[in-house]
Order: sequence, then structure tokens, then C-alpha cells
Amino acid sequence: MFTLIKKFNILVVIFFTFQCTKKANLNLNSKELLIFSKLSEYEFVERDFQGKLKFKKSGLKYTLNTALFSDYAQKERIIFLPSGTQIQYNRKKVFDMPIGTVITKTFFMPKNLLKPTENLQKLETRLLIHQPKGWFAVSYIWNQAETEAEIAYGGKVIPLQIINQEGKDIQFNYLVPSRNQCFNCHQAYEGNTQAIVPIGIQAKHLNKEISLGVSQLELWEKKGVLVGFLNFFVPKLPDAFDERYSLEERARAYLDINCSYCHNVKSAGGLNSKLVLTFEETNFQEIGVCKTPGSAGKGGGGLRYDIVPAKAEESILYYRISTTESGAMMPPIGRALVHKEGVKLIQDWINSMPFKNCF
Amino acid sequence: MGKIRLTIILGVIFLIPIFYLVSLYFLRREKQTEVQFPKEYISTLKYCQNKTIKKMEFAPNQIEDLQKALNSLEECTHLILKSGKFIFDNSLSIARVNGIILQGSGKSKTILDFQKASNVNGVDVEAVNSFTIQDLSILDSPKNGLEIRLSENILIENIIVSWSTTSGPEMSKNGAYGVYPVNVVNVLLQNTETYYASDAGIYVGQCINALVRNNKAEYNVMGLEIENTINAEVYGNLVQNNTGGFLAYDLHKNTIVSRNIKVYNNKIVNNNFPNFSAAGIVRTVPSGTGIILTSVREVELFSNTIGENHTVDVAILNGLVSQTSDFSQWAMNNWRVYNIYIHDNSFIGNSGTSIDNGNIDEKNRPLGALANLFHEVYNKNLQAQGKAKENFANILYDGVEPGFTILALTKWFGNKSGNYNQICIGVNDKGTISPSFLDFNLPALLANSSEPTEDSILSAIQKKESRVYTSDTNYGGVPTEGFGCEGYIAKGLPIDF
Repeated sequence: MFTLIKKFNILVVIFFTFQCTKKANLNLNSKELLIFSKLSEYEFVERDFQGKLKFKKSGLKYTLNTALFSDYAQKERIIFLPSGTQIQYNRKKVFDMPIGTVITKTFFMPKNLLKPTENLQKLETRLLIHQPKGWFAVSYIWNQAETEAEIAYGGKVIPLQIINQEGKDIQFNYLVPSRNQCFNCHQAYEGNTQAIVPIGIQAKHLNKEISLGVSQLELWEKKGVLVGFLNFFVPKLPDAFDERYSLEERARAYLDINCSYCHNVKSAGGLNSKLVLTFEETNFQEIGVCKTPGSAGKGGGGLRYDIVPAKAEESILYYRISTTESGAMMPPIGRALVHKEGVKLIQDWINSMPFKNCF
Repeated sequence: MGKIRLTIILGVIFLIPIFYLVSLYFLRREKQTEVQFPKEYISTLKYCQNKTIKKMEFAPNQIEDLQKALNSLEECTHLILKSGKFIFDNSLSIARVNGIILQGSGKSKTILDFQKASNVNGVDVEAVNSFTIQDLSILDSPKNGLEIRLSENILIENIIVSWSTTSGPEMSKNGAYGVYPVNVVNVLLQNTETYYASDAGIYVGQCINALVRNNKAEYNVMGLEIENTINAEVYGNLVQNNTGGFLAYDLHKNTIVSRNIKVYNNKIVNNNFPNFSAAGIVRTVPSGTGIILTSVREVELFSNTIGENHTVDVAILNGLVSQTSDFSQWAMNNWRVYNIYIHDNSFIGNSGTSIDNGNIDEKNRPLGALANLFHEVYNKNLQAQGKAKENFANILYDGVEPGFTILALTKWFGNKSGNYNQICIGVNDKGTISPSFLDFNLPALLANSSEPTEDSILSAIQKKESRVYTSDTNYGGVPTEGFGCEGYIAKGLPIDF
């Protein structure tokens, strides 16, 4: 799929320049939004007949092809755009969003992983607010009655007990990130300055069929919230757990959403380890095959190469996603549990590679 | 016609290898890192001199207020932590804000305890300018004690970083680094103590202009490390009771090529602690190692007190030997160790008495095992001549010359006299002994095989290819060929702190 896109790159650019000069209203003269200490003070929420706090229906709900693993939490994502504004489509980069946009992501923890959509505990809602100076990130922690959520600048550690896939009780510490920790993943560097950026708002993540033959992006365009969209060679990350895609595509998609916000050529993770895990990367050494790590820390678990083809157990990448050891586990934040299905996927992918001696 | 064809064929046969070698010579030349140097060091006080400084005080029971403040900081805030134990379940993080002072009430009075936190650095600082941390203790961080990355103008002063697991196999679960400034421009690190880090007590990584003085590193796997750093001065530090004392090196994948490192007036003694690291390059360090200089250049080491390191006082190693012999893994071709000048130090002896303190581990610490094998063969050879046994040398050099590393680790290019790496051992007569110097001559030891054997070692010793020099022999005699030369004089820091 991607090689195809590359072949037609020039064509697409030409198409783009001629057809899509339409610009979104990005609300550039808008003022700073107030940050409230209670979620109920924002205008994008309302109370239902029971007094519970809910998001207004005017929001734009969306899902991703493959989502980041967050300790098996279910997530609900809703965007609130200021009225009369639109999102600017971009094939390769994070979409330009209007000033005043609020992206909300609410985390629910199932009591029992065998019934992942039932009995959900509403934990936190993370906000990304697009201020004139850039994105502002903070999370709100819900009360048990779901009538209010309070701002948590410093984040919070929430001890949880759930039933795992084997029917056993497990206890773990769920981390609501502090504002500073939001940057650990939502980071982008422009020269020496660091900025916060959304991750999921990219064509490859959002290009997903939501009803027969209609993609999420097409629907957004129909609704008039997406401008400049050209339904032509739109990049698409596979669903990592949809077996219609090849093992390699699925594994690479999983690594992209779970790792590449740091493991890209511009961020600290990529710069220090020299490991690049974006879906677009085609050089297998950059992806880690027979590559020694760039830093000499303790994360390697005594192993020598990031990926040893056909030998998952000898691969640092596999080790680090399957451990919960401090200083070794990856991603370094936002995970206390092992994502069994994800680890299995990466294990199968590495083991499916033709064996090659790394020396 | 036939003659011409033959000439062409022969020409090609000879020309191709020559062309290949010439192209390798250019392809494998070391690259230099061009950096933009800062004009001056801007301390927090200087940065904030015309700005209002906001003071905020916190007691140990105000963690939530502190966390809220840390996550909504305005520039030039002076955070004061009162006496007592602050118990954190998450890291103390400061990011993207300038002119912050984080100050405790004394390094043994304000204790930041991270035992209940999981998988985070204790104090975690990112993308800040003119930042100061002082007068506090950081205890039991799951990852690094204090990490400061991608920042400028940093002062770390009068802090303690330690872990409470001080013996047994659980020590390997202690955090990796005590104090870890990484990717920092201008860092002053002083009067700080680090204990029981499972990697390095003090780790200065990928910095430009680092002044590291009057610190103490004890009971860590490696006491003090300078990695991929341009311009460093290291003085007045006490580095003792670690597995290895001081390490200066370049990582093979990093693109900052170290230069100009001045190490003086330090006490680097008795580093004989067992190696308790779980992983990483320090896992390969034999217990009893004083100083390691590997894949590094422009290092001047003088006026230090060095001794009682049971394996070796100073090891000078090529990166192809200490890290990886795969050329393609070296982004900047900076595997060489060269321009090293060791002079006017006090060597106090009792070194080289027991390699790896007797715990030879060929799998995890192969260089220790090789040194041990060499030492056994060397002493056997002495005894065969009716001479007395000797301790292992004070200074070990692997003898890997640059020609040798153009092609591969073979005897062909490397096994010859000369000192192209400019490893210079001057007069070191301030101590109780004058240090012996062992030119390992690894190419000769290898003798065209991948594993040195007792035979190959004995043959190298008997042919005097691998040999121990003493100050009596002026470390090899002729200045152009031997090691008794006058070498690189470090320029020191280009700015004042």
C-alpha cells in the first residue's frame, strides 16, 4: 500500500495543488480559553436527568484504526470545535486544528477483562486545549458518582483491582499523568523548543471505514468539519488486530501507535536509541533488525540486538514491551500491565522473520 | 593484444584492493561534531535578575500542592522544600519553564522518597533553562535519581542521591543513574554525593561544557562517567568503593564526538565493589577498575591520586574492543582512543593484586577474563625464567593502532611498533610507586584468530610484542615510538561558571 502511495506521490501533490486550495477557518484571532478546575464548568458538558455529567452531543466522536494500549482501559474520544471553524486536512502531518478546539479523551476501566465493555469505571478525562500559544494538556479525575471531574495538575496514582483474562484478581497502579508527563508522549521539537501536539489526529489513524464504504474522514468532510480532504491515496494504518491484514502490517501498525510518538527521527526516544518505529520507515536496521541499541542503559536486559530475526526472546524490543521491570519497560509511561495480545503480535512477527545471524 | 589484456587484468587485480583500502581509509575516518558553543553560563540568578522571583514553600504533607505547583510553574519560581521526608508516588517533574530553583533545607534534612513510585525518574527535568537544584536528598528512585535532559545552564549542588538496598542480588533493581544530566549545554555539578546506583553514580552524557567538581561517588557500579561530551573539567572528586571508578567514553551510535576532557586532583581509589548491575555497558566492568578511557580522545589526566584498584588503575581501550567490533554500528567512526596524556599523578600501589577480585566471569566480563589469562601466562613466563611474580600492570593499553582498525581486527595491520594513538605516559612520581604500563598489543595476542589462547599470548610476550614498560625504561624509550611522550594538554572550559 505504501509503496503505491510513494509512486503516486507526485501525482497526488499535483492534484492537491490544483484542487484543494480551500482553507479551513482556523479561528486564528481567537482568545485564550479559561482553564477550569471542575469539568462541569466547561460549556461542552451538560447534566443528564440523573445529574451525571455528560459530553454534549455536538461533539465530534472519533476512533482510531489502532489505539495506544493503556492498561486495557476503554477510551472515548470527542472533539469540540468552536462554531464555524474547521479542521485542515493534511496527508502526512497532524491536522491543523482551530484555536479553541478541545480534544477530549475519557478513560474507562472494565472490572473484568473478559467482559471489556461492561461494568466500566470512569477514571479520567484528558483535555488537549488549543490555545493561541499552542496546545495545553491536563487531565480531570472523575468522582464515583460521575457527577464531577476535578482538575489534576500533578496527576494521580489510582490503585485498581480488576479480573484479568484468566479470571484472576490483579492489582495495579493506574497513572493519571501530570501535566509535565503529558509531554512525554505528546511531544514535537522545532529546533530546540519543545511543543505539545495531538497524536491521533492524523490521516493514517483516522482513515477508517465506519459504515459500509464510508470512511471517518469522508464523514467529517460531509459534516463540513474537515476542509481540504482529498479522498485519493489517503494513508491508512491497519487495525493491528484485524487478521485480514498481514502479520507485518499489523505489527508495524502496533509499533507505530504505541511507540513512534517518541521513536521517530525527531524525538528523544528516536535520537537516543536510534530506533525508528514509524509505520512509514522502510529501513529494517532503523526498525531494529540486528541493530545494537544507541544507549547503554539497563533497559536491554543483557540482550544485544533490538530485533534478532526469528528469535523474539533474544530481542530487546520484545523484552522491553513484555516486562514490567522499572527502567526496562516500554512504553516508559502509561502502562503498568503487559498487553498480552500486543506482545503476542510482536512475538509472532519477529518469529516469522527469516532467521539471520546478527554477527 | 594479449599482453595488453594481461596488463589490464593484472592492473585490475592489484588496483581493486588498493582502491578498496583507500576508500576504506576515507570512509572510516573519524568524524567531528560541529556544535554551536554558548557564549556564557547564565545562572538562575542572572536569568531572573530583572524579573520578579516568586517564592513558594512546601512541607512534606503538602505533596499535592507541590505537584500542582510543579505542573503549572511560572518562570523564576523559587521552590523551597522544608525539612522532612516527602513521600512521592509519582516523579517530581519540571518541564519547559526557565529560571526555576528547587531547593531543600539541607542535603540530609529534606528527603525526597520515591520508593512508592513506579517506573519513573525521581526528579525529572526536561527542556529548561537556568535551572538550579540544591540542598536535598533523593532516595530510592525506580529509574534515575535526578535526570535533566535537553536543557541549558544547569546547576546541581549539594544533593545526595542514594538507594536503600545496599547488599544482595536485589541491588540490581536500584535505579540506574544517580545524577544524570543528558543533552545539556553548560552544566555545573558540585558537592554532590551518590551511592548504590546500579549503573553510574554521576553520569554526564552528551553535554557541552560540563564542570564536575568536589563530588563523592561511592558503592555504585561505576562512580563517575563522562559520555559523548565536549569540553569537561573533572576535579576534586572522591571516587571510591565502586566497581569501577571513572569512565570517559563515546557510545557508538551517538553523534557527539567527545573532546577536551581535563581530569585532575581527584582521588580514585579502592574501587573493588562487586559488579551488581543488571545490564548495560557497565555490566562488563571487572570489579577493581580505577579508570577506563575508551573510544575517547583529548583527555588529560594529572595530579590525581590513584590506587588500590585490584584489577587495574587505568585501562585505555579501543571502542572496537570495549563495545562492538562492527564498524557499521559506529555512526561517527569514533572507536579510537587517542591523544591521552597521563602525568604527575600519585599512584599509591596495591593495584593489580587480584583481577576482578577473583570472580572471573568470562561471559559477562570477558576483558577481565582475558586480562586474567594474560596475567597467568605472563607470570608463568617470569617464573620459568626464575623471576618473581608481578602484580598486574597499573596502566593497561590494548595497543590497537589506527592502521589496524582500517580493515578489521587482524594482526596484519596492527602488530607493529609505534604510538600513533599518542598514548602518553609522563612522569608520575608523586605517589608511593611509579606505575607500570602494559601494552597488551591485542592484535598480537589474537594472532589472526578470534580468541587469544595461552600459546598466542606466550608467543606475543616472548616476542616482546606484548610487554610491560616501567618508568625506568621511559615507557618505551624513543619519544616518537614509545609511550613516554608529552601529550595532549587539555584546554579547559571555554566559559566561566
